[in-house]
Amino acid sequence: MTDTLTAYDRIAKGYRRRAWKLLVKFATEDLSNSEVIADLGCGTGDLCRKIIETSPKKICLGIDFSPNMLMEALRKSKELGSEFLNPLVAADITHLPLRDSAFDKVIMASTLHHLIRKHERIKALKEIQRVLKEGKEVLITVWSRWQLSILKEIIKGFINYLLRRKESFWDTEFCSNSGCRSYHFYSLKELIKEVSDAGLVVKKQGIYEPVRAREVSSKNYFIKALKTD
Amino acid sequence: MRYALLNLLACPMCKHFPLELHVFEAREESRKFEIKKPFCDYYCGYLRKYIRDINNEELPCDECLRKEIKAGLLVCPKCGRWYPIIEGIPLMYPDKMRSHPRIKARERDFVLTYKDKYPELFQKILKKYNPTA
Repeated sequence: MTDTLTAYDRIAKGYRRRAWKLLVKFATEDLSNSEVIADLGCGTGDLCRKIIETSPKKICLGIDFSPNMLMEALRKSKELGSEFLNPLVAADITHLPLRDSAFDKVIMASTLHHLIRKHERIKALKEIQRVLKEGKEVLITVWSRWQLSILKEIIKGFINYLLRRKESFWDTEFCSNSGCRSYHFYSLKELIKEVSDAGLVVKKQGIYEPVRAREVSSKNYFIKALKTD
Repeated sequence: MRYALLNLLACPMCKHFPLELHVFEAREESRKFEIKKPFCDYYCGYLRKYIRDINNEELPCDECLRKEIKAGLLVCPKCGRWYPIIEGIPLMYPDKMRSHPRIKARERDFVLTYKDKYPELFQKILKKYNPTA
């Protein structure tokens, strides 16, 4: 059975996600401004720690649904003494435990594609729209569907779709010793459509391939979108 | 968590803000924080007042940041849902996720650890949701 939470909870020790340049640059472009930033799907918190190290005027809140990931994040930020700038909350991205219009920036990297139901993805995007301040932006990245490295999983997804086990052609799962995680593989057009449907205004989009990527997937789509009033 | 997090947290289900905090275990640090006042932009969770209603000089930001909450309870005064703070991290899952075995086990341990120490409080909140039932 696919249980993305358990799979992530089990690999928390030693888990690390690179703080991609694209994301750090977005978060710290107004270097000297005090800002409240949210990282949705923060894992062990590498991105928030990098943001605070680059600009200690920022508060960077990390949200993840895996308690073990957050325990690791807390341990690491305490070692640096920056945990008071890096609050952590266990929650689900479709139901953010955050007040309206509280954030200057929201980042959601490699997280949205774990929701395989379209209505849940739209709900998560609407939640971002709700917690952003007016005139502020979100940066989202997801895995691209057009990659050879994930061809096997995509074919598996097609078969399951034909057997009517899945809602979309592009839904699949990745399995390892720790368990199975669900994925929805995006096209850029689809990402733009969903972000717009959630009421956000798309400002910029494209392909992002991080250098020296160690992740299974290295081709990502990014999208920057604005909350208007 | 710090009290300052109350500046941002709302109920994940009904979105009510601010939430009510009950501290069970806390630790006080001796370090000095070099921060600009006000540390929180909207609501002071330490004084339980909106920033706009407090004189800037009266804000106890440094004293507040020294206190770290290890265990406690967040309660939504509107819908009555409660959320545990376990090992310094608030668990604020929506209803449907609280039945996940990994979440339920944590919430159950939390209830068993504190319900006899705070009987009245737990009697009230467990009526809304009881992971030990």
